[in-house]
Amino acid sequence: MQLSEAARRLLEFLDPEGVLIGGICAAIYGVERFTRGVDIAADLDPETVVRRLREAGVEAVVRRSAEPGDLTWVVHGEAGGVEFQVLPAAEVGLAPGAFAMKAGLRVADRDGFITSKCIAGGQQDLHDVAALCLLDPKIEPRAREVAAAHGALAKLESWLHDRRLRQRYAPPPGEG
Amino acid sequence: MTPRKGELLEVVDRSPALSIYALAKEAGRNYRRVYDHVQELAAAGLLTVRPEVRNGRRVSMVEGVVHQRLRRLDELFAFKAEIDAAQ
Repeated sequence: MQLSEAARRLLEFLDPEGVLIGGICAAIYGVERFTRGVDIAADLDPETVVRRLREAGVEAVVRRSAEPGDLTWVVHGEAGGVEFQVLPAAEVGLAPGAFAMKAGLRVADRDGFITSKCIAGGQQDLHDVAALCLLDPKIEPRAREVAAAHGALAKLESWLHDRRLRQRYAPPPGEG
Repeated sequence: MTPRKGELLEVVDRSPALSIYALAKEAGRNYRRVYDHVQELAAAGLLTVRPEVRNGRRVSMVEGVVHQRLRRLDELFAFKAEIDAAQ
């Protein structure tokens, strides 16, 4: 199954509370990179997520954590050969209703996506945020503010100054 | 760009790939005008029009930049899956 088709089906099973985040969302907003699976944030409890997926014939398991800094739960599974995970929307920084429709898919709006990436805080996450800032410099002050609030400003700054990322995403002089 | 063309681009970007007929219906506009605008936007590189056969009929599917990005991602994913399977 194609990645986007898997995302579309999973969103149908978790409609209307599920929204796409992660690599597919990044691609939709213009960041080109490989992604291994589908990431969805859902404003649901994990039992409801698993029940809805099982009713649709998709097996999934809940992994819980009580470690500080970890998400309290993540639902993992595989649909049509595509790995997926469903995360708690509130914990990844997504407010209910903060979504946009893109190509018929319900995706986190750009601000929510940036917040989710700054909360996750990994190198790949801040790479994506920096790429979005380079594609649309108007959002950079807001991205910096969110990154600072989540302790990720140094990583964002580092990516914003990355020569290869700038070559790839920053508009050529005179077009910005 | 005229506001009407801008509105059309917005409808294309938020919707799954649509035929020109379905796009006109979704946008609540006249088919002929939408057809002309799609051709102009495609010539400007802002849309692509892809022929497809549905129920034995040839239809022109309209895709925007978001669809193209998803298509590239799918291709990348399929390529990686092929490499993984070969290893």
